[in-house]
Amino acid sequence: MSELEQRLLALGTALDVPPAPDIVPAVLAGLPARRRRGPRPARRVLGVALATVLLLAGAAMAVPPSRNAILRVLGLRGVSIERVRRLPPIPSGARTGLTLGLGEPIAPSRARHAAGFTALLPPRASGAYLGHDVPGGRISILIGRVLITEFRGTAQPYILKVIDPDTSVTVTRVNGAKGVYLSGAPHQVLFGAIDRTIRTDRVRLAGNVLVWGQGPLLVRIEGTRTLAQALAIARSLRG
Amino acid sequence: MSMTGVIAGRVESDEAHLIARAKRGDQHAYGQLLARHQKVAFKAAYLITGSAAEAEDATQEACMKAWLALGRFRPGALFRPWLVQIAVNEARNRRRAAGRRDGLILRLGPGVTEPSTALSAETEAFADEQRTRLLAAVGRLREDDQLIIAARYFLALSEAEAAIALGLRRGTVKSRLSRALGRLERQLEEIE
Repeated sequence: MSELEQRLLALGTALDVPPAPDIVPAVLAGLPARRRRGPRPARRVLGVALATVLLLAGAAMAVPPSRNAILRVLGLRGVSIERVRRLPPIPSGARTGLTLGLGEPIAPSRARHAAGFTALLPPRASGAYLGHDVPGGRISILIGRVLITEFRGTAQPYILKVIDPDTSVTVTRVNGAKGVYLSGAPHQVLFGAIDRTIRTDRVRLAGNVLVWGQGPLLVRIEGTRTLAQALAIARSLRG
Repeated sequence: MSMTGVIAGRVESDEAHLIARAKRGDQHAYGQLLARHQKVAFKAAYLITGSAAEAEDATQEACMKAWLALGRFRPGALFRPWLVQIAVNEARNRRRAAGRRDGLILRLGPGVTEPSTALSAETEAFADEQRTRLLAAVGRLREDDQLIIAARYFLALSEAEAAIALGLRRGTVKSRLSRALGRLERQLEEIE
């Protein structure tokens, strides 16, 4: 090996590279079954197709018609993700702090039973809010800059996330259920509420988002730096 | 056969066994494979994205994709460079999507001198300067050259592994590396 090659090898060990995080648990939690024996049952395929049609019909009413085609329908029941060139406009005043439209501030200790469902709470919360913009109410919990939002979805929860072309999508498992992690560019969330209307969520944070259905609730964790962080918070939630 | 050769042979055979189990759908075996090679995949992704969070996401996505593609993984092939190749592609896609320009993100870490070498302050300063100059010269190369140098020396892959990681033939790696080192020497001369 030449002197230059030896210097390059030494340089490789001197480079500024942060310690590699252990991603194995998160990867294993998100692995889909790789081998599928035989074709899918026709009824299931039909169900997925119907859910897609309903979603598209609902979304068409809620968002401008200039959207691209749906990106893909994920295994998460009824969840679909659409890539768009530009996000729809956000209502003014819905960007920071209390103007995010989270609702009225409540004591974190009241959050568990303040809405029409039993909310899942982390061990420590720095703030909590009760919103009435969806039937049954919506609970938002802050842990520093991380925001957890919970509300009761439909019996077969569905949400449509409208995302920027630069947003990355990772399918993962959260507390035993399938979930979706959106990271990168900001995005907007449209969700199906219990009254089967499609609503535009006014909350819009630039942070990454993990979303999944837990029992009757739709839970969303926003603002974590990594998926591993979001999964750790998800695991800490207790009903 | 030397002791090192015997150990290497055992590791390879053990790895082949893990790959075979993972191909049959054994997630635990796949986890063991990832635990062995996630660091090098993360380093490759980090050198391309320059962001720990993005490198983590790219590596995770690569591990997911590798799992889904395991059925096509050839028996006897090397897993580590294959995973690196997927991580590199994922990281480059993310960088492209973010609108950032080509070229690796190369920075020197703090405290790069090993304490055991007990170098004098002058020698240490000289070594630092040499490293900084070499880094600057690598930074001036086009990305193809940077990648082949990074695969071979920064990730410490063998020629055969570098070929898989970069999707090239082994002979092509040899010739491209030789040309990249020639260009690097010229850049060093210019800097000096």
